[in-house]
Amino acid sequence: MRKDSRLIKQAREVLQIEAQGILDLVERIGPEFEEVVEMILNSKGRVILTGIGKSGIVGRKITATLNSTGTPSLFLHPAEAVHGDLGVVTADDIVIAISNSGYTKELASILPSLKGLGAKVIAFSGDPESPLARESHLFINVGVEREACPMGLAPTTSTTAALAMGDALAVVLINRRQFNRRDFKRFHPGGSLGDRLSIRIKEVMLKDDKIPLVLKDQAIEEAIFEIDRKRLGASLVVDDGLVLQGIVTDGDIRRSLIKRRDIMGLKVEEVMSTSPKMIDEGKRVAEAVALMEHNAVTVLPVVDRVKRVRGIIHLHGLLGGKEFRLNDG
Amino acid sequence: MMAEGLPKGLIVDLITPLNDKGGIDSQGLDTLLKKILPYADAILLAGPQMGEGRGLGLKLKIDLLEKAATFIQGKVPIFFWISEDSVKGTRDVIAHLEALLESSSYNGAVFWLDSPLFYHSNRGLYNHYQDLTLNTGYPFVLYNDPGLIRLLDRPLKRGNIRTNILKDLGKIDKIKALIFRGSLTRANNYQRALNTRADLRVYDGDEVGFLEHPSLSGVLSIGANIAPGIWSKVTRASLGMLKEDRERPDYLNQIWEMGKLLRDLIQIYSRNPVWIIKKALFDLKIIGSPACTNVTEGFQEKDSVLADFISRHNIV
Repeated sequence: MRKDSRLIKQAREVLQIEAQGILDLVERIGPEFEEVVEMILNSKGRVILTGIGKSGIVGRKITATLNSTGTPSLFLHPAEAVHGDLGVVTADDIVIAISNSGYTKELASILPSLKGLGAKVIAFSGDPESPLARESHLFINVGVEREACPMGLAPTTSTTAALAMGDALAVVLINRRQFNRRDFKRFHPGGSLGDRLSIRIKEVMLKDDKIPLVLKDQAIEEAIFEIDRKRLGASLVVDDGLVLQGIVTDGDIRRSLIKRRDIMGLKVEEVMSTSPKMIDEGKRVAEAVALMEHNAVTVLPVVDRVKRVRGIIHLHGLLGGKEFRLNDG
Repeated sequence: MMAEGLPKGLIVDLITPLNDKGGIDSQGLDTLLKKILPYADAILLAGPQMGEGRGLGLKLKIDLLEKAATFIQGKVPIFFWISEDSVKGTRDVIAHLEALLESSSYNGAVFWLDSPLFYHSNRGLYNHYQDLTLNTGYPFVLYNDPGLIRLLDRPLKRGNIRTNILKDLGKIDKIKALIFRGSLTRANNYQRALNTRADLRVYDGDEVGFLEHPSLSGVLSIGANIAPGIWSKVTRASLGMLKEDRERPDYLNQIWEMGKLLRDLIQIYSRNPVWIIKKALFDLKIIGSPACTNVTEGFQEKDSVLADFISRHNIV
């Protein structure tokens, strides 16, 4: 019992020290941060993170955060950079170099080349007097006053501080770009099923020329061609005002063939189902899936209050992999 | 000379070598400093703990500074503990020491290390320092050591500088650093209070605390009197100042082992650091006498254990 208490005390101390490291940044952050944000917003290139060891790992995480929040970013390993990977850097790019000491020789060796390529360099370092800080266009002080790990065996508070500063940068950029939930989902199509099910239908339904449509007095051949073109296994039947009249599915055509052998020459209205299940565009995907499962259908017309067709959804598109994507509007 | 900034690293809380007549052991001081200076980033003289500053008296303090300054020759900054039991006494010590430095034209960096609560209360501390710094020629380092204040045996007296008062003190340019002993929570609060001063250093005054969670300014070390090389290495590793060494395959293991050795040393001398370390330095023929201003009775006969440990581990 006593031993556990000691361990917890130590753990609390570590958390306290790391929290303090971040709180120190709160006090220290200044106009240079705004300059970094403006520099990135005005750039036509990408934000390239670089660093080695644990700073490199922090750089990779910041890269991922920037990418998922709308700032194109990539990670450049300093050791690989001197063996050819510098070719990825262009004059439009902004390089954020992370080193707590600011003396990391692998970074020092690529700095002249980065600047020679015309890229802007921002230093994330704990030492304003370090070569990295002095040689960079902008310097962000991510220094901390105390490491949590004894004898400097591993950087702890300093890497936490650099990581937090990267998050601060990403979040400020989100706000400045007016990046919203829709944009976030656009960059996260592989989100969990739960996330998918919570999305509104109007955000995922197929629209405009992706909707298979026929008029009820058209020949059934037209419906078959439309079903084949749009590849959803069905075509919606509408009147001139796009008001839903019915649906023709692969199953309807198959059953007509069994019954009549020759269906050519029939009109759509002679084959279609006249009371299709449908859903409002404001409902969520979860409700659509439940409705489809309950009625054993794979396609649902999406309509407004006067049954005018707004779109169409397919079960596989909602639950499956790559077919599921947010629409453009 | 007024130093603009203070270094990061190892501050050695130097023992005051005394001869059997109670004077400064010049030869011992010279030998000890020759052993320590290559590894130290600053030297504390007449400190309240290792330097026996509370028992030295003005004459010995002046003698100590004069001799130490001659040996140190400006190679590293000197911290000198000047606190007495009253404001007047403290001012007198500063005046005499400054007169000495002026007359000797010493051009190394000197800082007055002051434990304000030793002779003053938190109330009015800012005004006290405004006045003190205005009328003295050298910069100050504050020493927050609640253990020292407890020795005054005044139960109602506060042992720590209040955080909001420290925040005000941080605005005084001539205060250049703080040596801190106390809880981690207080350390964090102090750090926040001093955040506006990027040039102000906060050193750990507690060796064990530094070995656990190192302050990135440095440490005031007792053990560096006997193991300066190891303390320097561990301090520099903790401060991320050993860039080249980090590439050695067994670097982490070496630092770990050194840290363990220092903890073992602390275990040995922590009962009575002044006497035990002086005795070890005497046994190792670095100083001429283990004499102290105030030796705990009956302590003398037991303690060759540190010298034995140092010899056994071949500590330089």
